[in-house]
Amino acid sequence: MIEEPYNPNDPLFLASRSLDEDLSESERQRLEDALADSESLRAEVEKLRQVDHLVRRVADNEVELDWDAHARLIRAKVLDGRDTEREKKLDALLAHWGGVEVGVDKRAFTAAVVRKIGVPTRRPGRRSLIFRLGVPLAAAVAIALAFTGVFRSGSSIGPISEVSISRFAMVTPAGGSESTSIVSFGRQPAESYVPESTTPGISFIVLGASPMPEDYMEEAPPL
Amino acid sequence: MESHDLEARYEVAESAEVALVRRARDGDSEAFSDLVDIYQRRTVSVAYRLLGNIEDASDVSQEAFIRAYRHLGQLEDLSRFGSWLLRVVSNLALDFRRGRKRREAVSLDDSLTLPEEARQPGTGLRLTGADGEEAESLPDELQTAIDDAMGQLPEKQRLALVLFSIEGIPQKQVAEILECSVELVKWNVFQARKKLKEMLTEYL
Repeated sequence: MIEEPYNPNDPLFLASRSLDEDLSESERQRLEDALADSESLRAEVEKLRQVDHLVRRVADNEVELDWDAHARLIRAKVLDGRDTEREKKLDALLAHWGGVEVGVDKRAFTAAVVRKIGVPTRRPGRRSLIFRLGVPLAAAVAIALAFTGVFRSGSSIGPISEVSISRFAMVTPAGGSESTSIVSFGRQPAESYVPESTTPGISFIVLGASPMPEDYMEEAPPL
Repeated sequence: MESHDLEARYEVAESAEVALVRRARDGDSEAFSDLVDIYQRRTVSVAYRLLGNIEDASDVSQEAFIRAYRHLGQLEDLSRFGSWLLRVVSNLALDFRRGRKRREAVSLDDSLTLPEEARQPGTGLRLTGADGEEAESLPDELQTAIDDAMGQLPEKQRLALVLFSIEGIPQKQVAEILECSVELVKWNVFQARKKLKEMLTEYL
């Protein structure tokens, strides 16, 4: 569509502005003179006025939602990442799980998790041991599945290279909130490592390997 | 005298909003919540006029607030928060519409969709008149024709028409949102009307 160049003297432009009561006295006079001289211009201006009327009819209809619920949803999304109390509780759970202070050394935390789940051999009773460690249920199930996947996929697949835990809150219809955690195990190439991930939670890579990401999502106990 | 009173009241309102923006920028979540209350209707409405779908509009509005919160520190003139937020909404809506970065507009928490209670029965959209009464809606065929015609307008013209003629935002603020001159806003509104005139001939 070829755009028309700006022309402040176009009589129809003046007519458009007159609909918005945006003309100076001299411009209004110029428009009136042009209208007096041209019947076709008067017809065009009338159509322009009708278009404006239709558009304003659209404007008469206001969008309505349950604004309180909508605002709560926005707050949950925007402010969830700044809930330091929940951060502390999650850190405590992860510390218990990984056996290290995650806030101090995330790399050591990942190494601890990988030691538990990423060894290239599988011993009987391993998974039940993990469950008994008091790990959050979601994480344990995720680990077990990822662990199983390693061996089902064959020995050509490299070790788990990434462990990430993301969590988010969801506003319930009653106005409360529920939290869900996603525990992800990945085999991303090392070059995809992003030190400052934008996702909430923890996400980092300790080993590079074959590109076969695995994700598992499960409800986690309330933090 | 009356005009001075209005200006004074406007300045008080503006300075109160600037104070809110400043507090939100400094990490006061309550202040940001107040800004959400002030602007959520306008942001959803603008997004809806550009997208034609209430749930997409709600998603875009939420994403705009998230981005605004994250980047509030970059806003130099706090009195322009509203224009800045609407620019974010407009850009996101247009991106959404073009299908570009659609996945980027949805953050990790994909499941954070509009709660059932936030929706209205039926289409999710309730149309009300200025007095809050149920508005007499346009005939479906005409409404569809207008929507289709507006959807064919070039983006800047559509934005100018939505912000100025439909949302009733003053031309000066529309110019701030679109980052162009006031004259160009007027021209884009005119061009939009002119194109609609051609496209809606059978209804005029």
